[in-house]
Amino acid sequence: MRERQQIRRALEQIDEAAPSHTLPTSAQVWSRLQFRLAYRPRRDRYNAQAGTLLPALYILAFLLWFTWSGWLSVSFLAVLGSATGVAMYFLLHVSRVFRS
Amino acid sequence: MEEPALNALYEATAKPLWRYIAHVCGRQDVADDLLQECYFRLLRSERSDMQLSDARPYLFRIAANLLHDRWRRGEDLQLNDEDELAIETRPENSLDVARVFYRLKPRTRQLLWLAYMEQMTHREIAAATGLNAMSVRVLLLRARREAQAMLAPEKEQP
Repeated sequence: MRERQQIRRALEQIDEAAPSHTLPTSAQVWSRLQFRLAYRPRRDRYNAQAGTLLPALYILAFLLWFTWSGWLSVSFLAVLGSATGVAMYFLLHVSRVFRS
Repeated sequence: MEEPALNALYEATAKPLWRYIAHVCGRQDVADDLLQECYFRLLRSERSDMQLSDARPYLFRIAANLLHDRWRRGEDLQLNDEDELAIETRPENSLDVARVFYRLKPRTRQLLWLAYMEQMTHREIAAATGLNAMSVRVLLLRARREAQAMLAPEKEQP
């Protein structure tokens, strides 16, 4: 317990000893953030979608070409198509979680 | 998120968040940039309308991720004896303690700061750093020992 207090006191000492620093006001920050949100590069907005969509389309096209031989393949492709949709949704969700 | 909500959130969280970043990375200029980046990522996320109680740990988590990115690039490594302090301290006030603190690894500084200055529980530290709660317990114990070992010689000096 005494050791913990010692560490805490040391950290407080360091914090107090640091030179004073003025943070931007909330209005300034709001203004800067709105500017960044409005003018951020277009590629930043659609990176996750494009990054997921392109491989998904490629895989689907490959499977279409690879399995195209009669009625069995049609049902197989229907399953694959829906699975691709679910995979895309999942990947988009994961990318949103990890982006922030 | 609307402007009044962000203003309230900023007023409540900006100072502790900035101090956390500044003391973990050891650079005020970097802390300024990362602080703004934290709020930018919060606004950009789909969870920007969360309550203050949820937004605070979320902001600390974003800050931790940004700090980890810097560590992966080899930035903010611990200082050696001959290095100058990256964050300037007034010489009359505990320069030795500050020197000891900035000699610790960034991860150690991060855990100590969250536990002792932000008074976070192991679970909250785990949420803020992305570590497992059990790992936090072990890492914090090591961090405490490391800090004590480094602080002890300073205390013994006349």
